[in-house]
Amino acid sequence: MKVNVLCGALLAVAFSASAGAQTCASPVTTWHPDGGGSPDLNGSTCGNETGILSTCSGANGAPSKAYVARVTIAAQPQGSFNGITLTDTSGGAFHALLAVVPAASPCPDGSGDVSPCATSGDTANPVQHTNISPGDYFLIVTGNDLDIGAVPGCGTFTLHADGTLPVTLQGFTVS
Amino acid sequence: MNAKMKVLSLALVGLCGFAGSAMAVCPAGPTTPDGGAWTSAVTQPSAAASPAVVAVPGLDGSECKLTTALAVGNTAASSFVRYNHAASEPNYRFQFLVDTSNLLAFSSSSNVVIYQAPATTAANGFNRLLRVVLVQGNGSATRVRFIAQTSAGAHIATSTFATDLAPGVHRIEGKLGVGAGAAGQLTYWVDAAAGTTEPAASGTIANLDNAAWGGVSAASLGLTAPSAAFVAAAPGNGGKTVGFDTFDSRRQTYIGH
Repeated sequence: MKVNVLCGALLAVAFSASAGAQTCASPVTTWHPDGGGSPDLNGSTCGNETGILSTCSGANGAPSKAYVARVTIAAQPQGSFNGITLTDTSGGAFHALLAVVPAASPCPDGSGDVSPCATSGDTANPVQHTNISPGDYFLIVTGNDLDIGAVPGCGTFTLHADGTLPVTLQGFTVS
Repeated sequence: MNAKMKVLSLALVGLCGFAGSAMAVCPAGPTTPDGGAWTSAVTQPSAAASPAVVAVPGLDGSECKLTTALAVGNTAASSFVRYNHAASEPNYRFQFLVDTSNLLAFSSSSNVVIYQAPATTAANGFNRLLRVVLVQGNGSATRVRFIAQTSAGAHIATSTFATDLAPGVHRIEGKLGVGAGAAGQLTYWVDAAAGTTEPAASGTIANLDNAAWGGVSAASLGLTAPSAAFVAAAPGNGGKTVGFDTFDSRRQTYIGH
């Protein structure tokens, strides 16, 4: 098992995972954009676990394959971010959406209570939140109900921070 | 027994209390202090920003309807009315009309609650038995999703009607059973053909095992719990007016029309 630790890695001990098992506890990668928003986060929901996101009290059913990252929002005023743009780079292979879910809530993986979204967005509506509480969050990219039974129902995407996203990934674990 | 619990057609209510011109049959507002039938109205962050008001004409040929809208960019916005039932209802049928004519910009994460059935007893972190939600259909179109509470798993069971709702007036009817095991069940109809004989259902959610919530204690109709994409100005549906009319609830028989 490979353990990658950034910025003190206080959270790394809480994670365990196996390859391809995309769950809240095993985010797939790190994303640590600098003040200019670079680099973008490029990923794919394909090959990942389905049904992670039944979040936003079920409003976003999102039963399709999901990509999960865990980020830490720093304390205010640095904790305000005002833009994460989600781009579907798959040519419309899925109905991409991005949910921001507090990590303190039970993981919305279908095995526990459904977590509320701090906010959400999609390719037409960047995630914007100017007063999000500091703490750990899951960024979950997945498709919506229209991807049920669709082929492929998953795809590649890019997340771009607007340069004021003060997220710092504390740690992650992959095998 | 077929007890009709409440008919909350604004026009009918108005006719009971007003006389004269067609305009005069409409109450000044949806709640009882203003001549309406609903127990209360919730407009957040303010009545000006997220109005819930009586307007003309109605959606079914009647004189009046309820119109709602949510403040642009405010995911905490609400614009709905609530009626508190006199008793806890374990067998609950409901029907209402919703006008989606102005909702033309749904995207992947767009959603908004248009109807809720609050529960008598909170359980498993939820104080409601059912939500009816508008979500994205094909392209920028709209579909309707039913989200029922269940004792199993994540305590949420959903069913989305697999046909887009064309912009316009739609009739949504549901039958919610509250009980242990299979006694807990939701059956719903979307735009059922005219008639009072119960037709084949548009969809069901079986085996909800929802006895822990007791029964339906109230009805909430209007807009609430929007996603950020829904209340966005453009593309989005923030500030767009959504009409409701002809709410009906009863215990036993199909409501129809």
